[in-house]
Amino acid sequence: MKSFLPAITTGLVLINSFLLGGIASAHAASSPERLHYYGANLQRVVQATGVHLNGSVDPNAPWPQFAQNYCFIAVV
Amino acid sequence: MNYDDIVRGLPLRYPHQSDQGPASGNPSDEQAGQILWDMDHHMIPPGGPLAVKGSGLSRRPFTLGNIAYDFGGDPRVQAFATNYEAPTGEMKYHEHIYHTSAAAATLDMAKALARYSRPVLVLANHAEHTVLVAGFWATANPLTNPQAQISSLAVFNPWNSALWKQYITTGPYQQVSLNDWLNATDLPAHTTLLNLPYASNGGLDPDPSIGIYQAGPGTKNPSRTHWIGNFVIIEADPHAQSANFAFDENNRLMLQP
Repeated sequence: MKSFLPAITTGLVLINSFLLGGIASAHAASSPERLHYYGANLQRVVQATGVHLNGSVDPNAPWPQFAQNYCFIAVV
Repeated sequence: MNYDDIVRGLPLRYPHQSDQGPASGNPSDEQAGQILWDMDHHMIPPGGPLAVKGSGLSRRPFTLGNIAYDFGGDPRVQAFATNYEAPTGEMKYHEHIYHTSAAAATLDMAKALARYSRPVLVLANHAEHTVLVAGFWATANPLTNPQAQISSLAVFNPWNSALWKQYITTGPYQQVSLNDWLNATDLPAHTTLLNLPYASNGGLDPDPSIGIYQAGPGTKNPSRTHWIGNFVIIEADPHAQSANFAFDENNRLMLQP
């Protein structure tokens, strides 16, 4: 599976950065850094769920959950 | 999984909301072919099913695939269903139980996402809900660069915010900052993402009552916990064991809670 790399704009942001070794600490990025996406192909997840990245949902799509008391997202 | 079907170029087997289960939420209304029906008929755990208490919407366990008297699907049945409903030969998913911290769990989750390029399922808001994390944005790949810093995560939330108001996220998809993921305590409807570990939530999300992971009062391991107090993420991994088994933060097979 390929990675999906959306256009990312970065700036001087205050984030709670995550450092390898499991240490989380407040960190102000000193310079803009290019961010990369890692994980499942986002467009395929959109297809699998019917949920678009702008928050819209296709009618009668696999998602959202059908009732409040269960959410079997595992199989979606 | 629909995702696996798409990757393989197959038609979706669960293309509609009604494939999940009955709109009523009442398992008495389930029909063959729905995921809830499969959970009740094809995913019974070893030693199960649990003796049913109550009926209809109040049935506990809510699915007969549960190992706990959960008000919904517990982590075991979610992991098991992910494999059961996947195309033949697909890589397995298992529960990964982190007895460490939200930060450490997130780092390991990120490595799994980077390594396998497959979504993960996270028990969020102290296990009141489950969200799907598709991936994350970082300065580098945490698998290969120890200086990599995660910036945000791609979170898909199955909650129908259009009908039931916002819950945890602002909508069905949200790019969530790492800070909010780990630390926020004021997300929509006064919720959290991974700020708090799995909790019993007043008995709605108890630990298992049967099997090797049973834990808590009245079980063979009365002084232990399994999910409660820990961070639970269902991830793809190379383990060949069935999804009845869970793995710990060191990727070791767990044979007890």
